[in-house]
Amino acid sequence: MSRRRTDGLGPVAKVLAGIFLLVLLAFFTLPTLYAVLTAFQPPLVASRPSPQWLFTPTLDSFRSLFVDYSFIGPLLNSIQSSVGSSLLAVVIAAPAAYALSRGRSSNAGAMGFWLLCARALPAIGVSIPAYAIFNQLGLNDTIVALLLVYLPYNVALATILLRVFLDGVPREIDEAAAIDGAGPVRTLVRVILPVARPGVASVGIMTFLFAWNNFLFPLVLTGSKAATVPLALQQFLGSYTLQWNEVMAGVVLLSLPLILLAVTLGRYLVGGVSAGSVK
Amino acid sequence: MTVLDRHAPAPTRRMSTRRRAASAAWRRAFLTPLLVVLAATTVLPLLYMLALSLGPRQGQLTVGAPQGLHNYRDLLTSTAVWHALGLAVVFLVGALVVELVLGLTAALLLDRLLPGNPVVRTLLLWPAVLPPIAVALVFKYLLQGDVGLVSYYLAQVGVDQAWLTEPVSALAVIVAIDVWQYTPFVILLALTALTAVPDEVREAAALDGAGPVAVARRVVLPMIKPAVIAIAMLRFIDAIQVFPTIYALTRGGPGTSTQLLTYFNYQAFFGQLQFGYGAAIAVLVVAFTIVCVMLLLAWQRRAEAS
Repeated sequence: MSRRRTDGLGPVAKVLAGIFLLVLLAFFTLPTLYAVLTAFQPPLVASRPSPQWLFTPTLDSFRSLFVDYSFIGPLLNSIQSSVGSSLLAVVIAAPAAYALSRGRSSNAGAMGFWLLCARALPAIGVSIPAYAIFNQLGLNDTIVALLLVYLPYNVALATILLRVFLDGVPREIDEAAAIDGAGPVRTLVRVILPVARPGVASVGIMTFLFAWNNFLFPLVLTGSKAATVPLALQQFLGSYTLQWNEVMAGVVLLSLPLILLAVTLGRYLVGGVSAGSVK
Repeated sequence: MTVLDRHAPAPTRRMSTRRRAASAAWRRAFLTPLLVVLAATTVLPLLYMLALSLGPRQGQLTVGAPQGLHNYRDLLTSTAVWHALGLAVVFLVGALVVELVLGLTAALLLDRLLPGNPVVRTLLLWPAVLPPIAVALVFKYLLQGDVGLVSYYLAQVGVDQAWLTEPVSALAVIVAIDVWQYTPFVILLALTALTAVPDEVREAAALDGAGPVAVARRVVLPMIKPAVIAIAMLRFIDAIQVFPTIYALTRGGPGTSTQLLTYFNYQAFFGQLQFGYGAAIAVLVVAFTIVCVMLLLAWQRRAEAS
């Protein structure tokens, strides 16, 4: 099968194509590799005026982040807001996606367009009224503020994706559950969602990612108390004692959960990404 | 992905009227939380923003009696706004064209050389899941003065460019970072779309005497056109909002040469505290985005129909 698929390209073309792909690979991996390398450099090595490739790796910059820059607060804020947003999105989206999947509603097109618009809404257009409203409610610089502004994006994303996954669950399963006397809520929670577990996993990851990676909302809505890691990293840059090895250690810490997710649950994530766009 | 491959057959039994009414009732109930949340987090803030944009240009965060359209008049006559919009369009066209051309080429090659390789797919996903601010900080470091990795080795071979302090190269860097982060993502999505193209179609075209390039251009690409437009839409939604890169690398500078729409809007509202005027700019940003999404959607429908 795979042999037949490669037919049509001559040996020279294959070599050229291979070189093109290798160059692309190098272009896309070297910057991150060098950033990781820097994170493990001792401060003295990192401050030399030329790139350093050989050194004894240390964890000094990571230790310094927690000891000198109280990194733990932003880290906890990031975890709370991302996990919270992901859970909220799945809880709100799951019943809606199930209803959309099983119904033959005439206004499904309008619903789909609204969801797409919510997903596409420029963050600046939400952050401006959110800032003004939260200012009056005393919600600025709280995790709740972040959870609220992440809602439209993550709920829309989760509904769009889950609907695609639930469409793939055969309706005979619903009917079998109904014959056993299960109502819609029990059918969804006990039967349908467990069957669509890979879909739920990818939706959970993608909504987590949106909140974890966000920069603009924490920047304008939080300050000292509810700052997340992306914002804290940016603030470190302003302090003149900070070294690049420490910034890169922060970058590694911020990216580590995502790399772990991509390695362990990569196939769910790929499924989610493709379901959301090019199904 | 296996769940996606099974097709749900149409319900065979006719439901009684009573059961149908009950099923409509639970569906409405299941949709209610979503509708309430969407209304409260999209419609409500947008209305508040509209009200804010009708108030005084500067300094008032609460909504009072509307004062008229003066903020919009200022907006339409301000060259700074059009400059910011123009820069955003230059950025969008530059980044999307490079990402789609590079991404589709690489995807077509990968689909021939390493079809369905899971390791390749996971690797392609990596840059796209990284936080944009992390990527921005890495590139700031790589381009740092004379000591950054990229600027150091380029200087060694005689390319001495102050990347972030020249208007054109600063904008080019912002485009390049977007290309770096999202081209692999475009490859990944294009690969997924390509798996839907049956081998027989290519073989038939090859039998008619078409070479591999001609097969790709005349047969394969037209078949995945709707998917390519969907990818472009996904990239558009993110790219129109480019912000962390600009915030971390240039702060809109040098001068106003990287003050793209979102950053310009941020500056007006949160930097200069022009709350009414900033809200009016944001209304423009939202309208521009939604119109572009509608155009892309219409284009995709037409591509699907043909």
